[in-house]
Amino acid sequence: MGEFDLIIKELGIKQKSKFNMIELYRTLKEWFEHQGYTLFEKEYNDIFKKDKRNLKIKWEAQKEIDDYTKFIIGIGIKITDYKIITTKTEKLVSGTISMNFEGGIESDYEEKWSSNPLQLFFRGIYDKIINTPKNEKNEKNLSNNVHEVYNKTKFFLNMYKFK
Amino acid sequence: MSKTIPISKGLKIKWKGPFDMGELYKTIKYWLDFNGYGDEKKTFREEKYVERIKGGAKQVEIKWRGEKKVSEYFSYVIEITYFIIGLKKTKITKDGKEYETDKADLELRLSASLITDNKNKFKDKELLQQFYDKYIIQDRIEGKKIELYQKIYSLHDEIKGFLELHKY
Repeated sequence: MGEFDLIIKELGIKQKSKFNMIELYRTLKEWFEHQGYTLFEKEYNDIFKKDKRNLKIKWEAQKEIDDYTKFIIGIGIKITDYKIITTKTEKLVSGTISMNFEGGIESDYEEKWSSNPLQLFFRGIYDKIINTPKNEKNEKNLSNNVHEVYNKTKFFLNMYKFK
Repeated sequence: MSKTIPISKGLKIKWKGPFDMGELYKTIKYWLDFNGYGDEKKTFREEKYVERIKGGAKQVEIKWRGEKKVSEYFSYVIEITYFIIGLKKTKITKDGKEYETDKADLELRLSASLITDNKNKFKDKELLQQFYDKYIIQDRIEGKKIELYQKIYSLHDEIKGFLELHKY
């Protein structure tokens, strides 16, 4: 684990929805793979509380930009008081969905520049002074990616309003 | 050398009345787990658990410490202290139905701190570390302080939300 800087935080969606959870996952996975990311499911918790069901999921997508920089996009999903509705063609999840999107950059993810304090110091100078134009470009690209996946998700959920 | 920067001290939640103690305990523990502070094998410790019985009610004091390594230089620490006085079972009526729950005077104290140089890489080079923290990565330190500040307030809101649901 190198040094991590959070660039985009708390981009959120909250709405009452009926949607196909498996399709949402497929859509986002396809998008991430197309963009060169690997998607991991970090957490999956289906909680039964008396007569209510709540779901909490964490996904993380990673993309190595070069041997020093990695983009990481985190998606947190909470679906509260949900139930499963079966239609003629699909199974839908009906509940209140909250999603938050975060994006950050991990530098020196292979830890080549952190084994001693002098390396750490010079890495700091490199990040702050020498690598600035590249960092700015990376931040812009990451921000675009996070906004794209956020918009894609919003579009997907809104599509179900009209089905 | 590892340094601890306090981010929020004295953040309190006070509650008097009915609430489900077991559910509160689980809700907070779950928040810590979900956010990476609750691994009992590595980073989470129950530092104190004291229970006393006084006149048919319990007095409980609990202290939790959760640490999350956010990078190879920074860690976040969240500490929660529960002070519970007069904890006993009570019956409440809601929507025409009777429920058994807990009742007490509750005070929760939340605090957060940022740890720099969590692996002690600068252990014999304090001057170099001071220069590094102050002139090379000061923006990063400020960014981390803000993130942790937002995180502790998110926990504060989660707990308040839980207790508000129990307003009968």
